[in-house]
Amino acid sequence: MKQDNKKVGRKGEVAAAELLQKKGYYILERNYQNKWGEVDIVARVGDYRVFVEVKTKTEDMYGEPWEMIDAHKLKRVENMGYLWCDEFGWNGLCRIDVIGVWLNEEGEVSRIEHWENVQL
Amino acid sequence: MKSVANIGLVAREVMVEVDVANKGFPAFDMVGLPDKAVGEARARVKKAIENSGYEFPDKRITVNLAPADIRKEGSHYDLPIAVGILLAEGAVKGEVHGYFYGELGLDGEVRHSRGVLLVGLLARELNIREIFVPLESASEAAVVEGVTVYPVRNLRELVQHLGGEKLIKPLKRIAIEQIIEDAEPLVDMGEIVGQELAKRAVEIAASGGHNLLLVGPPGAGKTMLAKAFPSILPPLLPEESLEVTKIYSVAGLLPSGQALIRRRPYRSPHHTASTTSIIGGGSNPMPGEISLAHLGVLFLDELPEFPRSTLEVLRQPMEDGVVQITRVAGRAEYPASFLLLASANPCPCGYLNHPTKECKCGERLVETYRRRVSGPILDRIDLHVWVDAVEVNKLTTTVPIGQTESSNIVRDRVKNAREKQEKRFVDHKGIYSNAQMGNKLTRQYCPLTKEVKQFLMAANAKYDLSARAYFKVIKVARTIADLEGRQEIELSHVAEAVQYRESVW
Repeated sequence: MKQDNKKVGRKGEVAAAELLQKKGYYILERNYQNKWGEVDIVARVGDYRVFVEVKTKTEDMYGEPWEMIDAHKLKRVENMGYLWCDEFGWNGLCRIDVIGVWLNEEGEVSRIEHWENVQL
Repeated sequence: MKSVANIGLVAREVMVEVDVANKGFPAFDMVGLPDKAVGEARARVKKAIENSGYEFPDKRITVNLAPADIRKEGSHYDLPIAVGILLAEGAVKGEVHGYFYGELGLDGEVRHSRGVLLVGLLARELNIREIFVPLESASEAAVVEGVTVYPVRNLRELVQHLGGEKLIKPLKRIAIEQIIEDAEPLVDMGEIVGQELAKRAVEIAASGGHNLLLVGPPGAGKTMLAKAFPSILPPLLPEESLEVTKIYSVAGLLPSGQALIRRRPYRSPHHTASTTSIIGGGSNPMPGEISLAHLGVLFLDELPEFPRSTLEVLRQPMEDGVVQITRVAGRAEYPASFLLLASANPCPCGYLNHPTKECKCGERLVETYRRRVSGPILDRIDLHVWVDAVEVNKLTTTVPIGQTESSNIVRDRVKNAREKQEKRFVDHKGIYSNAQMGNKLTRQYCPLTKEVKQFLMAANAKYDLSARAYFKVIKVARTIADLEGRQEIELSHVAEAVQYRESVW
């Protein structure tokens, strides 16, 4: 089951990264990790460094992707963002995006949504 | 960006600083002791900017309201915050001056906001040349000299004005004297038949601003006299107008489009009114009925029906003409120099001392009823008048309507008397009528002849007047003399004044 979740997550992240590239985002990093946590995708668009949280849901899961994000989660991503900025010496605009990916029974992407600049 | 905070009737300049940072995550923070309504400006400002066709920056915005130690209350900081953001983002170019004041709607419309007159007056005091206020409430500031008032309809128009693309036409200044009185009074004195003594007392009360108590059986015309009272009151002087309008502006009771209140206020709260609504209060203290009646009339119909606790709170403001309201969130001082007009029945059934009807109340009952109004309150009432029942045949036959004096005639006499007082108190700020004189002024403006003094001594022996009552008699005598156009207070004036101290309660 744990393995399954990871696989589903990977699949969503790949789909999300593709979508971002198609939209003209430049992917700087996938799965940025340090000892405090991780960010799914770090991308660049315009003047912004965008920290992307990808939420993937399969057919048999209840709820919608946006219901999986709360203020606490956003705060964690924001803090990770500041750590990333420190590490790479970025001193400019930042923002958090959320991408929701729906998978059908066959494990294919049935729907994908991109919410820019998510704030709670 | 400057705006204004109103604490009670005191306005203070507030600096609205807006910083839009080109780093970090988007946020919209507000500091400087904002209350809930100010905090909610965030949502309104964001939508108003977007819906006015400008871009709301996805950046870290920090708004500071300085001085940071006074509590900011209300929704009128929306406008300066929005302009500040647009200025930082370059949508508004150049420098901006003046005060910005107003609430924003989600569509960018600028809404009616309380206290615009105070904004204008503060701008004049601090040499601020321009103020930007909601179109709906702009007229309040139209009487302020030396300040250009820009009525703002919506955010877009303001941005265009500031950018010099399309200028907003400033409001034309209106001289206070040009503003006419609004609303006709309900009852004319001419409609009241008989009751000459009561009418005379009403005239004296209106002339000098003296408190008046009318006692009489039901149907005698007490309420009618009270309703006719506004019709003989003189209009407010320009200075008085400003004082009254300030209170109504802060209370948000000024009808939109009205610049100034010219007619004397007339407030008649029902006896179920709460103490707080009478005196003023709330966590951010707002003026109560006594302040809304400032320089006008507070009419308490059926005085004994008011809870004693409510009546007792009137004591201090009746003496001082101001009321201090203290709450945890803040203190406010509101002027409350009003004329108390009260009416009452002599007993619960109403027919005590009635010429034809018999009173059904026992002595104990009458006693309990009377005790509801305390001595200190009665002592503060200058004129105590008995209003007799009217004989019905007199109503129909002897005096046809139109032959009794109409309000306009009485009002002219009252105006004359007031003009004398206006001249008398020209050097005393905040004092407009004889009733407002303190003891020192009474001594100064009411010199008494030896004869009159002797009479007063005798009267004192008979009625056992308190020190306050003694001075009140002299002040009433002053008003009677003014009505008759005499410099000196004569014996007849004092004699009449003393007569109104005779207990009818």
